Amino acid sequence: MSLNRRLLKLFTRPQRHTLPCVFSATILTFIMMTTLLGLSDQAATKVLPTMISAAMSSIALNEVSLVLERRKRDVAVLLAVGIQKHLVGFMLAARAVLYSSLSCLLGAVSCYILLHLTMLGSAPTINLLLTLSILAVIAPSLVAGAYGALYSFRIDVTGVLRH
Amino acid sequence: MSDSTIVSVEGLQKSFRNGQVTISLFNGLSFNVREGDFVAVTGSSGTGKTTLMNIIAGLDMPGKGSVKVFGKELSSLGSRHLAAMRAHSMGLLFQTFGLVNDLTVKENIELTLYLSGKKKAVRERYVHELLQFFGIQDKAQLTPPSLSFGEAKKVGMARALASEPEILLLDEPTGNLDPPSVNVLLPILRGLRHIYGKTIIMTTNSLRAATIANRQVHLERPTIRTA
Repeated sequence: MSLNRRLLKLFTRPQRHTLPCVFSATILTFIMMTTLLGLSDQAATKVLPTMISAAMSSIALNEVSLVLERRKRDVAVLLAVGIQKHLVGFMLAARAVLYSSLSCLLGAVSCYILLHLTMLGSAPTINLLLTLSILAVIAPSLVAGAYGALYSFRIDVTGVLRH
Repeated sequence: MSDSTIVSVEGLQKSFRNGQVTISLFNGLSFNVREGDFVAVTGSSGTGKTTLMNIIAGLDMPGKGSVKVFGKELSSLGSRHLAAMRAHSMGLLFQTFGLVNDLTVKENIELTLYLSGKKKAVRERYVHELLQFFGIQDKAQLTPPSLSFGEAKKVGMARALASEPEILLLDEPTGNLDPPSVNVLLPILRGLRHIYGKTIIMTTNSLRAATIANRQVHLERPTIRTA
């Protein structure tokens, strides 16, 4: 197993708070998709995804900041032994990609099943689901990755290792 | 500075502000460490032993003075170069071990081997050798929280040695250990120099541990000024 894979395994391990975060993001994805399909106003169709992406980014940021708080010591150790700082940012972005994708997948599947079975609206096309999913994954991942990179550049390694 | 000088410290000072109080450490400390030296840094608590190790490792910056490692002035190196230097040329043992709790003993030791880019077979063999050298081969699959204090120190030292560094920086390797564990660790420290031929800088409060070094650097008490 390479260093990157080992770090990825370490940083993507789910923690106690991960499940509620994934659940919240799934609900948001579901709301975004079901609501968008029923909207005809052009302005609303642009504003709603932006708002939901921002909300999902906040959830991802919250999730990653909790991970970093719990893994502060591990991050300090890794940086102290010579792991490059940007790698920590990449690993946290990868974590956000993983859990945002999971939320999107669950949200999109739920939306598709609901609309297809109840006939309440037109069933979403695969293309629309894909576009919305990408939107809901990219924004949270960028935010989480940037936060992780910034954190690893600002962490007081010696202060953390002293205690 | 001669060719065999690995660490050169000149006129080192470091100050900390704590409210109205300024604490100045090192008071212009100067010393050189040559290849194969075993230097014990001694001094009572609060004299800056750990801070000195952090400065030499490039984890902290000197306030005044110059610190050169392998001929390079540390304050002129960026964080990327410092990280690369720690990964390839330095082995660090932290006072609080610095082990990753979610990784096993074997994985913790392997961590620095990944950084040196060794192949899997070489990594496996080297980790096995280190586990045997420190007598912790039966703990390979355990995680750090299930280790005793002494065992955790040994794992920390094995990880420090794993990347085959040119210099070992050991922060209180015998600190807080019971006498039997110290009796086990001291011959290991001697062995690191004599068997592996390592250059070692070690901080210690223990006179007994300091005697196994071939040189001692004593840190004076810091000066405290109130504004």
